[in-house]
Amino acid sequence: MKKQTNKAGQDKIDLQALKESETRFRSIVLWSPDAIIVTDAKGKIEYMNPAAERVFNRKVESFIGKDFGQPLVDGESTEVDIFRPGKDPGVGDMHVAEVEWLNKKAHLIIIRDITDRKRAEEALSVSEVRYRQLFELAKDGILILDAETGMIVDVNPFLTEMLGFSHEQLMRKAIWEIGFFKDIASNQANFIELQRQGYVRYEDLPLETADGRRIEVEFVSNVYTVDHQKVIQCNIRDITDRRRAEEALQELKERFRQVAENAQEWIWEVDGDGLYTYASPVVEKILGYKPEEMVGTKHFYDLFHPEDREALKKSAFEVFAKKQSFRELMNRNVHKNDETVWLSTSGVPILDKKGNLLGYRGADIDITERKRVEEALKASYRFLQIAYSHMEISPLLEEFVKEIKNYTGCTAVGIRILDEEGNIPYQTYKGFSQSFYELESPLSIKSDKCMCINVIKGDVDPKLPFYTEGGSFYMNGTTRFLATVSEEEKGDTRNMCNKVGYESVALVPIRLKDNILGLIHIADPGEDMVPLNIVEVLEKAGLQIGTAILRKRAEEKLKKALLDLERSNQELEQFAYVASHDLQEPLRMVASFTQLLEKRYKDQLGQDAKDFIRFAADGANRMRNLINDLLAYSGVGARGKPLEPTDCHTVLGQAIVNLSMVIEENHAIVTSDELPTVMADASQMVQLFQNLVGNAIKFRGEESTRIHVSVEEKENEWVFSVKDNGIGIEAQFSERIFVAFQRLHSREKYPGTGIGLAICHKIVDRHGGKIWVESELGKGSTFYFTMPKRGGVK
Amino acid sequence: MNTEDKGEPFDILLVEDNPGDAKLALEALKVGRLRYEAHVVEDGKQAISFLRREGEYADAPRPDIILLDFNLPKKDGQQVLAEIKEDENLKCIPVVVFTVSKADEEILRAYDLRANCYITKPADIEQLFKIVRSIEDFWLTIVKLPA
Amino acid sequence: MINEGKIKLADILLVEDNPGDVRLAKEALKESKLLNKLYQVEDGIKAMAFLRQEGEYSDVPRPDLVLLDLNLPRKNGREVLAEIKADETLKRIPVVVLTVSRAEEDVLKSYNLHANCYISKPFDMEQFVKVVKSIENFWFSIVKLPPPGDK
Repeated sequence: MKKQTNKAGQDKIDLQALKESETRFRSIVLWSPDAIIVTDAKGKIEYMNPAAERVFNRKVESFIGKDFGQPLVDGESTEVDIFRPGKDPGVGDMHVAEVEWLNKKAHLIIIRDITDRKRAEEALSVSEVRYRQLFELAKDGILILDAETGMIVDVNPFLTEMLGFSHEQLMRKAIWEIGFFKDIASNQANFIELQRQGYVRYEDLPLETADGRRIEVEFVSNVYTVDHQKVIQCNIRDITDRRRAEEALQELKERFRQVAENAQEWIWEVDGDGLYTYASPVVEKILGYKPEEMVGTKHFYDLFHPEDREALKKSAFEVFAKKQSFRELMNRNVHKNDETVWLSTSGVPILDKKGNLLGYRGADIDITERKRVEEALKASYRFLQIAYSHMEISPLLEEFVKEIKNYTGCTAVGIRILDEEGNIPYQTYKGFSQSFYELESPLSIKSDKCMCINVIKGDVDPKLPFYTEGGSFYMNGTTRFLATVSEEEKGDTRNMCNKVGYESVALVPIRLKDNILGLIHIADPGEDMVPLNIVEVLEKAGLQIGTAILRKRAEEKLKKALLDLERSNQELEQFAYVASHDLQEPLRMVASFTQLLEKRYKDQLGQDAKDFIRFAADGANRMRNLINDLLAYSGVGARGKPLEPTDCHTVLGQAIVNLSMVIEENHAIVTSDELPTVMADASQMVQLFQNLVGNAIKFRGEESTRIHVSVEEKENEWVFSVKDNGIGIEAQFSERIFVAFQRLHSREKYPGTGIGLAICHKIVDRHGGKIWVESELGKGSTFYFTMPKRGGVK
Repeated sequence: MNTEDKGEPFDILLVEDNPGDAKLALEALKVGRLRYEAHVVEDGKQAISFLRREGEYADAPRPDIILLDFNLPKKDGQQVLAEIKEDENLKCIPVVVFTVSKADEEILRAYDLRANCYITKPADIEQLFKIVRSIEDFWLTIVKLPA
Repeated sequence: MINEGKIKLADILLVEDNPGDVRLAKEALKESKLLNKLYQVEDGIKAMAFLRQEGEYSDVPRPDLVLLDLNLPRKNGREVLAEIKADETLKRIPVVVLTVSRAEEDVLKSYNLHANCYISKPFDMEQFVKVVKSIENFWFSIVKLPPPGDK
């Protein structure tokens, strides 16, 4: 500053002005928020304002005289890093000016601490990058609209990709101008609405892409302000796949639900302890419990029948421990209403990724009905078996009682049989007390009144609830029932069963068609032991018992008759045998001595005497032959031996030996084919062949006798034939000749009693065969007989 | 051939209850050329007594051959046969069972009881004679009898 | 089977070691009406084996009649006779002792062993043949042989 002339006053005014100027500039410097530093030309710090202290976080004193340390170029503004102890480095905006300071060259450095601003800028920059990146790289489509104009301001690559439109196609267009957005904002009005709503969300919006694909998107839009400008940001997510997955899942769920609810099986899941975690609604139908009553509350073993529970529980957990699947295990359960339900259970283990058991899931089928049917079938079959066994009536009935008891599970079963006097005593019983038996057994249909009597008489009215179509009486709670009946209605029925404590009673008739032979009495102190389906099975048993009894009775009668017949036959044959034997002897005497007489004294006898003797001897001989024949004939059955393998060559041979004389005398030739071995009585076979061959010789023709024995093998029998070239037999007599003592010729011409063929017939008959003849008068005969093939012989 | 016969007649014991049959047998024997003496007993008991020379049969000769009918009263033929063949002294005497029955069981039983042979009595007298003669021929001329 | 006037009737077992006698026996039987099959063994051991149907004799039939010589090698006829008559199933088979010996004790011993009959072989050939024929005739036409039973 230059000195002024008005010295004193001028000086005073100048001083004042200087002071004011100084103060002014001092304030500026002192109060400047920016750091002001003055260095000499070389950079040595001569002055620092308080702000510099703050900026550098050091006391001014420490700086004065120190080198600034930074190249100073006048007129430059640079960004510098500020290092300050105790604080993070900062950033400053440094401006250097060359000035004159106290008449020297100096640098005036002004440093503005722009650390915060820088940070903010950086942060903003980072943030901007970040957000830009998000926008660019987002896996959702982002659309930015100008809220006022509806113009698309920005579109991220994902969206262009998704929609198949290019960035250019979309930018600067109004949203409603883009076809596919029409759904959202088909016109400006809608758009305004959109704008107004602020937040809009479409869960599920169908859009069409540039190439015509339909996709589904989730559309969320938000309105907010940026730089005083309202924008709408739309986030668009392609949820097509998700949708599809959702739909598939939904379908699956629906499928499962339908299956679970409509299947016969009920589907369940339990945890590792057996506690139900899921039960399909069908369970209510099967076990009476709603799913809610089971899930989280019941264990699977809580439903088992108490008798089976421990054992089943044990084996179930053994399976759990082994993590095995199981199929169709049958188990007895208890319905909510206490009835027994049989289930067939299948299940598979649920394992986590490590293979640990989480629980089981499976399905059960109600097989109660099936089991009932099975039991009924088994019982029916068993009844049938018993009915057709070879047991006598008493043990038969006992078996039935046992089986009925087994099938029904009732404590007492008895069978009453009607006898000729009208009594219906118990033939057999099990489970009734002795006193009951003694009291109840002697009932009679003639004198007593009782349900038993009604059933046996067939006095049942199927319209009443305790009678069946099959004629049975059944009641599953006698006390309950009687309580509903008035005293008069009860009348004089004895109700003995109820008095003794039987709640379940059934009386099932034993019948053969309409003929009632007795009844089955079933009783149990428990209720509901004889439901209708069981009674119906028992009615079948009743039929079978009836059939069996009648059959056995018939068999017994038959047996007895046969025995009687047998005995009578034997007596007869015995008689015939003895008689014949004893008759033989005197005859022999007569025959022998008349012969002797004739021989010894023939020279002394006149012709008459000779004739007399001859007739006598003849008679005796004939009688002897007749007796022999009778003996032979009766002997076929009576003295027949058991059948054994017999070689027909041997027996034919023997027959021929026996006929050797007569064969020789007649120069007969007997031939045969290969003959088989048959099951026969050998001596009778000899007799058979002997008679047939003998006959063939006896009834010989003119030419020399030729007899041929042959055999034909059939599937089940042998057909023998004895063919001769004798006189033959007229067809009309072909059957008569087999009758005892039937002769076709006079005794003079052809001797014989006429029993030979009858014996043959009897022998063949005894062996189970048939005998017949084919013949033509004058041309010879062929006698055929069959021998059945029996076991043991080919 | 019994060429060493001492000139004594053969003793034939006939065990037969039927006098008719006995007579016939004797008649048949008569026809032969051999010298013989026939002794007839009517039942098994007598037969045994004869053979053991008991009672009235104390002087009975030892038969060279026995013709035994099975149909006997009192002791039946099979029993007699058994007793004879079990007796040390008597068992060597040939016993020809000569009876009515043809039954296999009887025949078998006879052989099992040690009958020397079994022959069925024929009804025909011619046959009867023939057979008796054959017995005579075979047993008394061909066979060597025990002394 | 054709009947040529001969009928198979029975089986005879000839226990004889003398081939000459065997031949004669065969000749004698050839002439008869009855066709009997003659089997022959030459010693007692074979005889028993035959009767018991053992070894090489497993297929032979049970003979209906045994003609037994007492003088046999290896096992003599007396032993054979005793064995046969001691055997439950064989004892019923008629055994005709046909041997040289005329000795009383041989005769008695044989009968005591239950020989069915004892015949001493004649010296004369012709007689021998006659004897065999008589045996055959008596035992197969007159006598009822024991029934076959269990052959």
